[in-house]
Amino acid sequence: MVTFGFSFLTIYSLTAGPSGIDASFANYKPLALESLTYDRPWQLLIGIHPKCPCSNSSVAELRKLMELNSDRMRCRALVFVPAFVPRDWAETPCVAELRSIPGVTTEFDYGGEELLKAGILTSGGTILSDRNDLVVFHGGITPSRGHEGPNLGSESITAIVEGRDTLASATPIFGCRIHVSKSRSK
Amino acid sequence: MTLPLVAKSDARVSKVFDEYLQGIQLLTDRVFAWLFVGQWVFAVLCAILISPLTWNGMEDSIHIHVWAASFLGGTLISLPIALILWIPGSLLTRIVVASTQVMFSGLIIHLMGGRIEAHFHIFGSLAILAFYAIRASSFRPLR
Repeated sequence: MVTFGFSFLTIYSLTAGPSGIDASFANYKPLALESLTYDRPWQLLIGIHPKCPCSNSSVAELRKLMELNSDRMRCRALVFVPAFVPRDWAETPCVAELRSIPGVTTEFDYGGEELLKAGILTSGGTILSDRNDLVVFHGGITPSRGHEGPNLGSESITAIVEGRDTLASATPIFGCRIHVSKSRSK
Repeated sequence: MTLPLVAKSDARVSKVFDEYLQGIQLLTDRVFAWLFVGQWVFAVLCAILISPLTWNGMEDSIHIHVWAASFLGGTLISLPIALILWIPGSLLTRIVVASTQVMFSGLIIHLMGGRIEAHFHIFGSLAILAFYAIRASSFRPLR
């Protein structure tokens, strides 16, 4: 029973959420990046569900990323707010933490339409693009659901931004779903 | 002529030492019984405070961590507490208690999202487990 419990916990932690970007994303232009100021060579977009506990880990990893690469990368954080709910719904400690990270512009996405267009369906999902809106990386920046620590996503982004060889161009996203899945919305 | 006296004295010292050691082990068993209950409450509180709900859009449900802390944590501590009550001070009890404590460290680290601070639970556990001291002569080389 104990083995089953720990196995179930491990499987849950390593189950990735859906992504709206498929493998052939080379020419994908995320509409959500249009309003960014292109004063740095790399632009990172991250989608956050404000109440998802896994988002805290993504935000913690984002802080580390920005501390390392703030001179080369700007980040726009889109915070999901469901339609027809007051903005207070999304004013969580996680969003406050997000706002406190230097180089990160935090905006609310009412109804999640912009996140849907960008292809971010899971909290903690990121898209890294260059000055020409060419997407070079997309995926999560945590090693598993709700866990901080060294991970392939953060290392890949840092490698790309520093001009080193890319470790991976896509990583699984571990977090809560931003949009209600079809099976549950029926 | 003094050899038998030394042997007798050694046997007496050994007996007193064993009784003293057994006393420490029984006390450590009792400490662990309470510690397990405290850790269980702590684990449930961690789950409730850190990850109470999981979200799917704007729909929420109780996070798996809350269930894991409640039921997996409860299952984990049930066997060692039972052994502490039934056969305190036995080798089996000590092995089960030590194994459970290792697994509880894993559970707490998991519930706390892998935070570095959570890993200090292992160091604290080792300090208390050290009271389960056994005689050096009890170690036998593996053949």
